[in-house]
Amino acid sequence: MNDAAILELSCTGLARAIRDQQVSAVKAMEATLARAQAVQPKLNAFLRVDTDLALDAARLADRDLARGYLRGPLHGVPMAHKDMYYRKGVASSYGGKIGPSRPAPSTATALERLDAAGAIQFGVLNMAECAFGPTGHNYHYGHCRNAWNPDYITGGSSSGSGTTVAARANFAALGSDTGGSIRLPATFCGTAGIKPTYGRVSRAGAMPLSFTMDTVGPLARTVEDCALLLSRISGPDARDPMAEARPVPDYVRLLERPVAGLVIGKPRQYFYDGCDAQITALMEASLETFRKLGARVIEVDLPDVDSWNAAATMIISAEAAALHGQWLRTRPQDYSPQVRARLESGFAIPAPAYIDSLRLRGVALGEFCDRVYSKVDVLHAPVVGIQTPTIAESDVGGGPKMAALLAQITRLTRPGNFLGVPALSVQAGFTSAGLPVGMQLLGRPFDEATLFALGHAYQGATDFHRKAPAL
Amino acid sequence: MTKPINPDLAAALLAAQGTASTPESAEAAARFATLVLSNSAKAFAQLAFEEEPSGYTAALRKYAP
Repeated sequence: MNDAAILELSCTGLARAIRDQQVSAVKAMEATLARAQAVQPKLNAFLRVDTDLALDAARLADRDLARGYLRGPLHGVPMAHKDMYYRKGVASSYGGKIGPSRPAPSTATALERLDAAGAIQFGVLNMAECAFGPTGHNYHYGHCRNAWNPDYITGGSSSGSGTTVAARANFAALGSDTGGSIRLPATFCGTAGIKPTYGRVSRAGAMPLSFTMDTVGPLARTVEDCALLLSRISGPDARDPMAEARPVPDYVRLLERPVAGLVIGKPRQYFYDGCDAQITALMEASLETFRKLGARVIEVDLPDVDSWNAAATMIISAEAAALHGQWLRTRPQDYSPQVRARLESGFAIPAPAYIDSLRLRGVALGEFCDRVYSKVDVLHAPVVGIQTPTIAESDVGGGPKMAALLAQITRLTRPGNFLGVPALSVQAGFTSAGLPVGMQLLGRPFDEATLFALGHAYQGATDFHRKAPAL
Repeated sequence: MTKPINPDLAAALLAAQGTASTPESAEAAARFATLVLSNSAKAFAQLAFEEEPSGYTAALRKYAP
């Protein structure tokens, strides 16, 4: 198998090829490292590549396999992750100058679980500074660039995760989603990505931004890969008191559940307000695909999502300001102007408003579930209502245009974070500019399996996820 | 209808918490706080007296399939 063929494989496909000894872990790693090196000047997506360590780990994986020892379903699969997941003995950058300068005392639970499944981490990825930015701009390490056209944003904050996976320079990547940071790069870069239910995946060893909203999840080229990775990283964890104890379903086995008869909701309010015409058309085309697959599509009314968006923003801002308070007081110059301005805004949120935002969350979730999930199995919506901006036109710094731009980009993702429900982003086509567009499927709490089944069926009926950017 | 927060008040709030704002960041903080407080006021006013943040975790579990 040549390098190009290896790099076109999904995680699942590569793991199978390694297991069947059609390709060695070393050969797969060499191909990935060469591709990473080739795309880096164009994409600025890797913050560090650990070539020697990765090749050593790949050699060990091959030796293990030769002895008949298979570590897990990701044995030998190369991966690089957003640089906010702690690896014992290594200092994470958080995508900026702020962060622990000391090596991490322990490894993030999500990384430990991927290690146990046999994945091999070969580097760390560019990200929005402190995961607090939805575009992919980074004033410390340089802006991350979209694999489909480097003049355009990747989306953020998991910018490197989206663009490296799309560029076939990475098989899958951990991102994090507090206000849309998995779904935004997934849609702008044309990958799949799952923001799991709040509490489904342990946050231990992941840089915190907003402890009541942070979620950990993967980006990959296929929904099947997202299902596989989520099944490995989910589950209870003594290191995260919010990690849910309920058993983790076998998401991969459940992928083939029939989707005929499932009911998909198209929102009458909010999600299509001011939505770009091309994006609206692509959403309608994706709904038509679901109809052909046997699902029923009906329109549904939503509660007052605008107030939830405001409450979500207050929670994130207040918690982020508290977490970063010490550094904002002592090292404000170490933040970029935009991130500093956004963090400082959290100090202007009154405590009763923050607490009311938290009080509203359960009420909103109940209202949403009663109104929506009493009629449909999932809600279908665009991830973003505007076409992908260029890096230049969205380079607004901390000035007056900042709030409007950020609100425009995160408007459709933030409600999912406030509710804490799972949301799967799947590519649904391309704009006339040749840039990917994603849809999101929002499910009941802890019902990731239904989202995966629908997303997998959709990818079986379409080929958007097979198209590769011409880099 | 809530009243807007002016940038001087935002700067004072930031300063009282030990953070030195710039004129731009004080203005951004004032604009941000005004917007989100205004957009959430009606929903907050409708919250039941007994509602508390732990209601969220209970709702997550209640509505799981």
